[in-house]
Amino acid sequence: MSVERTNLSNSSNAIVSGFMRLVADPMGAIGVVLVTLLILSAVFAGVLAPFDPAAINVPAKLQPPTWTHWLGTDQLGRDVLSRALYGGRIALGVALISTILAVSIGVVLGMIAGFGPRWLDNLLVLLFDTVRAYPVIILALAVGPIFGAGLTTVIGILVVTSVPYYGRIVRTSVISASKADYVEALMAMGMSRTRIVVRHVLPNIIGPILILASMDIPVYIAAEAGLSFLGVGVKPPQSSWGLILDDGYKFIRQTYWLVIAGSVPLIAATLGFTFLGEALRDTFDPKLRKGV
Amino acid sequence: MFSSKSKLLLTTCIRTSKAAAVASCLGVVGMTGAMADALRMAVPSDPSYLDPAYWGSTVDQFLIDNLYPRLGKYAAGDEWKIELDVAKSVDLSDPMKISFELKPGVMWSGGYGEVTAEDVEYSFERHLDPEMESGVMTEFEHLKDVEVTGKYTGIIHLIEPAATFWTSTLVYTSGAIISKAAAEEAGGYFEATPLATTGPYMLSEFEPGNKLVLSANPDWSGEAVDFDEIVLLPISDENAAELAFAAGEIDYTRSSAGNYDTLIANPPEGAVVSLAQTLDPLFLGITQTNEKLSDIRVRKAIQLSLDLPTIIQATTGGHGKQATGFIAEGLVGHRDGAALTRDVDQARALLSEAGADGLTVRLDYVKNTERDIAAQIMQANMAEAGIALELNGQDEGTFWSVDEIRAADLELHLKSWTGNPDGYYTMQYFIEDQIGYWNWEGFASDDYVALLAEARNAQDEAVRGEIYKQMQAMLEDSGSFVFISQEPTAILHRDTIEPGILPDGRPVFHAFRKAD
Repeated sequence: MSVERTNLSNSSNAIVSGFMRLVADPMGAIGVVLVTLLILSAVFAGVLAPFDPAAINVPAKLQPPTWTHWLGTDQLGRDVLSRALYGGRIALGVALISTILAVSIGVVLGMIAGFGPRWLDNLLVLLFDTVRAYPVIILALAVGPIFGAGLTTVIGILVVTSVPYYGRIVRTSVISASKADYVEALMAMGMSRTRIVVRHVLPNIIGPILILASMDIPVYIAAEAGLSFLGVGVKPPQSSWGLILDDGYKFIRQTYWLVIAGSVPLIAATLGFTFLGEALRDTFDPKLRKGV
Repeated sequence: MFSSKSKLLLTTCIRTSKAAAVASCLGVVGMTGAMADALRMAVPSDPSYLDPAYWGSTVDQFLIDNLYPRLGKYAAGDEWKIELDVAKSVDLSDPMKISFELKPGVMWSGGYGEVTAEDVEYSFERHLDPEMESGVMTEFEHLKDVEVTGKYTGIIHLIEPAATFWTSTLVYTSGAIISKAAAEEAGGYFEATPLATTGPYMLSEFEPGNKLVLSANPDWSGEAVDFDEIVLLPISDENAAELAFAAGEIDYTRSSAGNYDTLIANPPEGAVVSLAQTLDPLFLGITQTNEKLSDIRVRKAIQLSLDLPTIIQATTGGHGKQATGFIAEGLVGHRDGAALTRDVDQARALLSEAGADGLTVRLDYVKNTERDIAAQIMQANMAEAGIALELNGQDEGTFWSVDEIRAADLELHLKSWTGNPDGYYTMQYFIEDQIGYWNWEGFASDDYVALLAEARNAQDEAVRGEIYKQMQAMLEDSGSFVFISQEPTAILHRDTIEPGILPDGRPVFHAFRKAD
C-alpha cells in the first residue's frame, strides 16, 4: 500500500514538475493559455454565443462590429461571433477525432509492418508511400464530389492521409526496438511476437508518437478550415472557421471583418497547439530538453 | 439553350473552386495585359459545344450568337427588337411557311464560299435527323422541311402553324446557320472549334482554361469594328472577375446584382457600373416523379415554406423582383400579381395531412455565391416548416449532366435557364417527352400540351400572352415549380468603351465601341 502511494505521489510530482517546466517556457505558457481558451470557448459555445449561429437576418447583413454583434454579421445577417465559437467546436472535434483515428490506425499498421513478415512490410510501405505521394488538397477535391461534402469526408481524408505518417514512424521505431537486447531476450524466452510488440515495444514508442500527434492538431484544424473553404468540408447550416473565411473571401469588397473573424481563431489555434506541442516535446523528450 | 447546361457538358472543364478561380484570374495577368486594341471580357467558362445542335452553356450561346449567321436576330439596345441578319427579306405572312431571301456575298471563313439557301436547308433539317440527337430538336419539331428555290432563296415549310418558330427559335441561338460544305467535310459533327463562321470576328485562338481570342475578320465587308480582338477569359467566379477588373486585367464583366450597391458606392477606377434585367428565370424545381415528392400536398408545402422576398433581397441586394412565372415583366404573357406568398402554418398542416412529417429532401444547385445564399435561406425556411433540407452544391458540369440514374434521383433543384423574349421557348420543354432530359420536374399534362399547341398556332400576340399566363399558372399549381426571379445582373466596364449588349446584358461583340 505504502509503495503504491509512493508511486502515485512520484507520478503526481512528475506531472506537476513537468507542467511547471512547460509553463516556465514562455512559448509553452502561451500555448497553454491559447489552447485552454479555445477548448473552453468550444465546450461552452452554447453558453457564450450571444445568438443562434444559424439564425438568418438578411436586413442586418454584412454589418461591421457593433455592441450587439461583436464581430459583425455575415452575408445572411448571422452573428459572426456565435458562428466563430461554434466553428471552434467543429475545428477541435475534427482535429481530435482525426488525431485519435490516425494515430490508432497508424500505430497498428506500423507495428504490423515493423514486426510482421517481410512481404507484408513491403506491401504496407508501398501503400504508405503511395498515399503520402498524393497531395491532401488534390485528394480532397477528387473524393469530395464522390462522397459528398461533410465532416465525415473531412475526417476520412485527414485520417487516410495521416495514417502513413504515423505508420512509417512506428514501423521504424519497431524495427529499431526489435533489435534491442531485451526484445531478443524475450524472443529467446519464447514470448509471442504479438505479446512482445503490445506489452513491451509499444509502451516505449507511444510517448514520442503522442507528442508528434499533439503537434499535428493545428495541422488538422487548418486542414478542416481549408477543406471547408474549398467546399469539401462542413456543410451549412453548421459553422466552421473555414466557411467564415470562405464568406470573407467572397465578400472582401464589402467587408473585411469576416476574414478577420475567420482567421484570428484559426491563427490562435494553430499557434497555441504548435507552441504547446513543441513545449511538450521539449519538456518530455529528454534528448531535446534544453541544456541537455 | 439554358444557362450553362448541356447533357454533353461532361467533357467540359469548368472551374468551380476558388483556387481555380484565382488561378484563372492570375492567368489573366500578363497574358493579356499588353494586348493593344483588344477588348478583354470575363466569361463564366470555356465554351463546350459550338455546334448549334448541342449548345449548352452561356458561353456557347455568346459565341454561337456572334459567330454564325441567322436569318434574323435580336438587336443590341435597350429594347427587344428583331432585325434581319443574313436574310435580305423574310415573309412571315403565311402561317404554314416562311419564305426567305439571303443577302448575296456573305462569305464563310475558311474558303467555304457564300452563305446559301442550301446552308439554311442543311442547318435546320439536320436537327430532324434522329441520328444527330440534336439537343434542340424540340425547337424544330414543327419544321417539315426547307425547300431551296434558288441560290439565295428558300421556303421553310411547317407541319402546322407555329408563329413561335420565328420568335423563339429562328432568331435565337438554335436558329444559327452553319456551312453545309464545312460541316459535311467534318462528318457533320464538331465540338468547340467552329468550322466556318461569318461576321466581323472569327475564332483565331483557343487555349482551354486560359483564353479564347476572336480576331477581326479581314474578309468582312460590313460595318467596321472598333476592336481588333475580343479576348474571352474564363473566370468562373464573379467576385474573382471583379478583382481582375479592379486590377486592370479585363474591360468588361458581368457580376452579381448583390454586389451592385457596393460597386456603385466604391467603383474600381475608370469603371462604369450598370444593372441589366435578364430574362433568365431562376426557379426551384420539385420533381413530382420522385416518390418522396409525388404527393402534391408535400410539393405545395415546400412552395409555401419559402420566403422568396428575403431570398431575392439577399441574392440581388433588393434589385430583383419576385417572379410570377417564366416570363419577365414587360413581355408577352407576363403574369401580374400572382406571386407565391409564404405560409408556414399551412405548409406544416399540408405535410401532416400528407403524412410527411420529418421529411428530408436534397437540393441540388450550381455552387456559387448567390446560389449558396439562396440555398441556405431555403434550408432555414424549410426547417421552420419541419422539412430538413440537405444542400448539394455542385459544379456546373455535374449539375447539368442528367442520365437515367440522376433523373430518377432528382428531388429539388435550384436553377436558371437562359430566357428568351418569347416565353414559348422555355415552356415548350415541360412535356412528357422531355422527362429525363430538361423536364426535371416530371410535369406532364395533356391540358398543358393542348395549351402549348394553341399558343404555337396563335398569330395574335395578345391571345398567345393569355395562353402563356394559363400555362404558367398550371405549372405553379402543380406544386413542382417555385418561380423566384428573373435575375438581374450588374455590368462592369471601362469608361473607355461603350458596350454593345442585348437588353438582358448579353454581349453583342461587334457592337462594342471605343468611347469618344
